[in-house]
Amino acid sequence: MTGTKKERRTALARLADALIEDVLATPDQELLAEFSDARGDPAKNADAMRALFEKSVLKSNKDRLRAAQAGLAASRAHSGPARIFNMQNARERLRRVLASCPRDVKITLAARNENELSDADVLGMLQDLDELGIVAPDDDGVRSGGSRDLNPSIVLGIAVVGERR
Amino acid sequence: MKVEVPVRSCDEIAAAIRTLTNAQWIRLRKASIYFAWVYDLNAEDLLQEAFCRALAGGRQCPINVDVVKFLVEAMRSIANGEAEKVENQVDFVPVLQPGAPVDGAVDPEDSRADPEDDVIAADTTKALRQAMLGLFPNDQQARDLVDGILLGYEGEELRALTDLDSKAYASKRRFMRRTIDKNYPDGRKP
Repeated sequence: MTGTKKERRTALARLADALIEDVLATPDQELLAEFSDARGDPAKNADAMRALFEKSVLKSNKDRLRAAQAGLAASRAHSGPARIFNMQNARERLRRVLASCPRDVKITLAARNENELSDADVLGMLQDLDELGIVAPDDDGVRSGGSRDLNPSIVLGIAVVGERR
Repeated sequence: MKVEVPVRSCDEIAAAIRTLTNAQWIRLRKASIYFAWVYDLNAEDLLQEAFCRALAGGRQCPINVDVVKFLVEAMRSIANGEAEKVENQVDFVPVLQPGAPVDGAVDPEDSRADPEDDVIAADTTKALRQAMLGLFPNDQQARDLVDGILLGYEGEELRALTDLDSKAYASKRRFMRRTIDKNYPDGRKP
């Protein structure tokens, strides 16, 4: 857009601002009488405007629904396929991590004997440790000297965990 | 210290809109028509977009702000945004391989500065001023008021320009608006 076109728009915008300022300052009765003279029944105008608003409510709700659906689809796409865990190695890994992690964390997490924990508890605790930064997201035992323990050929348990960071 | 003013929830905004009076609906309609005139938009579309943004929670409405004023500002912001989009539009000129067949007949508009455009726009600016002043052939104060507004004078400066006291100035401004409304009922010459 050229400067001159912009100038014209700016001038018109100033005029519109002045008109709006006056419309907002005009007392209700004066405005209603003025509208009745020029355009007709103010009540009919209000009805039409309310109908437009309700149409907007409907559109807004539809937009929100579409956004939620798109968000869900995106989250599903990011979560990836189910991860397969070797639960025996996962338990071993938890023992290793607990043995080497700070005492206060150990006390909090190792309240129960690892043998008493369900597979879901083990995976949950590993995920908690991951979130606490005590174990790296892809730490599969390399740090403690073992070989990588996820071996799809020895599948003892399958668990689906949330989105990995 | 800045005091945080609570804001209306989307439901509260919707409830406030549903209880607008006939006069408030008239204010909203008129404001949408003025903005549509300036930015070359459809007044109903503009108002509907303002409603949608208010309901989506994109704009916050403090509880001490009048809902009509809040919606007017929302319309102003939407209309401004649309104008900026057009102003910042980048033109893509298709690059054709020599000898390649030209398919379709798309002729993208070139928004680069064009001297001819400038002349037309200058004429239009002049035409706008002339048209507005022409509504008040025998009223010098109204003409000064219109001219002052178009040139960017505001508030006290504008009032001083017309040599009117506050009351007479408000009355002249109302007369100016009514005259423009009568001659441009939908922001356009009937």
